[in-house]
Amino acid sequence: MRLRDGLDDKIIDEISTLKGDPEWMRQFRHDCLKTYHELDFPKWGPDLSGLDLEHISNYVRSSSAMVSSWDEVPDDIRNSFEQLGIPESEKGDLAGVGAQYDSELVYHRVKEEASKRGVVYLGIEEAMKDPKYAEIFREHFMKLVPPSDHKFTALHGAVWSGGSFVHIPAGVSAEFPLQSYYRFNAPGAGQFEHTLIILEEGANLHFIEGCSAPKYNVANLHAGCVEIFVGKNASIKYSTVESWSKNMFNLNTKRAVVEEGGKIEWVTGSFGSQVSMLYPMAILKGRGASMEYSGVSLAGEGQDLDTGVKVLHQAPDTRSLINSKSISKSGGKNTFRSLVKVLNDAKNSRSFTDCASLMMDDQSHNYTIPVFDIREASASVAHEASVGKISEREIEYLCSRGMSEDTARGLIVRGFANDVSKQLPVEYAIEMNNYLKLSMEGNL
Amino acid sequence: MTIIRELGDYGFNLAKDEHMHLVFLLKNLSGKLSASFRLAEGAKLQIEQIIIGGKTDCSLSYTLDKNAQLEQSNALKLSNNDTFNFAYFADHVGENSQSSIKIIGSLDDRAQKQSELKIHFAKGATGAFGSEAEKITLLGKQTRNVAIPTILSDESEAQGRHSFSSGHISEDELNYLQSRGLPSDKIKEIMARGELLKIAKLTKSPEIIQEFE
Repeated sequence: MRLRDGLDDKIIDEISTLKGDPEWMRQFRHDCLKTYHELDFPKWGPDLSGLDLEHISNYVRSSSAMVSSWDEVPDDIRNSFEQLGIPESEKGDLAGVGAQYDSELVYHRVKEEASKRGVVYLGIEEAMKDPKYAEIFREHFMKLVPPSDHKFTALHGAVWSGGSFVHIPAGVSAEFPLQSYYRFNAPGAGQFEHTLIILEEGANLHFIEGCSAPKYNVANLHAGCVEIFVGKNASIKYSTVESWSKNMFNLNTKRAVVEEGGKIEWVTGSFGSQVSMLYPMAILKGRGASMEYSGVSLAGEGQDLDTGVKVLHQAPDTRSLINSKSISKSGGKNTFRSLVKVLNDAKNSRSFTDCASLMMDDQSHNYTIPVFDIREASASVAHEASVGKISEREIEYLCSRGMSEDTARGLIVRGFANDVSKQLPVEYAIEMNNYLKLSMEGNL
Repeated sequence: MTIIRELGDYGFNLAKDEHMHLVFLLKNLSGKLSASFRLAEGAKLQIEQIIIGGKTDCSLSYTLDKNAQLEQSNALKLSNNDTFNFAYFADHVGENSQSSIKIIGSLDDRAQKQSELKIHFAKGATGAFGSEAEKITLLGKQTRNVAIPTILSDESEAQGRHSFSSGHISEDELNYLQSRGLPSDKIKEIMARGELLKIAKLTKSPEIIQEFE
């Protein structure tokens, strides 16, 4: 089923009814719609004129209800996920898997061992309605990313659907990663999943997010939202390998708040979409909290990828480390944008940003726009960046060893991005390298 | 060498292979300084800019043709409620053009500095090179140091680099100097003036160097 295009109060009511929202959520959606109409498109960044929100359906659902066995997933949907290797990955080293098809989850399951340890991994609507989690859900939902943040968070708040809820109790380490996979199949539609992760004191998690979609001739919109609450001395690695099709506007918002001694690691591979605006943010709220960001982004023909990271140092002894690799080829435009803000009283905080950019040809564009705002005298903040071309000498050397020029270029690019891919479990590092290889060959 | 001690609007066209040496000495001034420079083929421009106190908005833009070279060195010493907003734009339009900007200095008390350093490589600026380097020491507890070092590259055969650091006097340095009987205010003054002197010496002008010794 597919709701009509556009956005008004009637559509919000229809979505709310379809999802069986409690009354407070219905009202929340209407409030978000009001905010959405009040806010403008961003006045900076990539050109969003190809995104016609009046001609996008904000809710599309397959006929399948969410199940916890792949056998119960309809054949056509299961085939999509099988081609992506999701059920196979689940048999390996994953503690749980969620799979979303268009606007709704079609599969969600957490392994018994993880469940016994207290790991809660639910479809997000399940958590909203389950009396056991309803309160904690309401306490946290869109509190870190308020709807008024920007136009697309307001839109998200109005029409969100699907996504995951994770709760890791104090002292529990989810030994194996959880993975959510988002498949977007409907042309001219939007996907607005919400991921809410809460780690109590001393908890530990690796969460992996994958995204893909077939290509259509009309624009699709992805405006998901991720909120992560990292408790005292807890840690999380949040990995994303994104290969949206090149008709996708990927306007996602991700944010984490990190308490004393806690840690967040963002690992991001951006290869797909027509336009991306994605800047995961960490608020280092407690003493000694830290953030690491490792990102690789490859923009090819017709792509405008505007990605980066934001970090706010609020407390003493906080640390951040940013490592970004940007590649542009075949006329693609790649922009790295970052913000490091150190507030007064974030004493002895440290931050280092390293961004390197490679331009593969004379048709491409590469922009580096970091911002530093330092208000604490005892903080140490440093930054290095370089923009340049792939080394012809290295290519010649590899060619002299019998490689073709294309293979040599691919190898150098994979080496350039190695810092990032080595942060991932081996099978995902291979996946990222494959995306790089396919992108370099123009096959993605 | 031309020395400019006043704020205002300035414009300079450097002819082919012309060399120019400019020094901006801005002491406790309030207002705007705006200057634009066009460097023709092979032109060379050397600028030293020293800012002490005041509330200044400064905007300097450069267009660099083939083989043109720009070298700009800045030192600043701000304290109390001083502010310095600096916009720098080096537009490389010619092959093998080169630009370099360096900022060193210190902020004390409630002083604020914002620098927007932008290098652009236009398509066709093959072999061009641009660099930005900034090192600021924060001496006061209420200072604010904002930096936006940007590289916009539309030419694959060009290279850009930037580096930025914002830090403080290390405990070791401070302890060493205090053990020599220097009060902390004096230490701050020595360090801040030391940065100014480094840039003043680049002018090779005894008159200017003397002002900061």
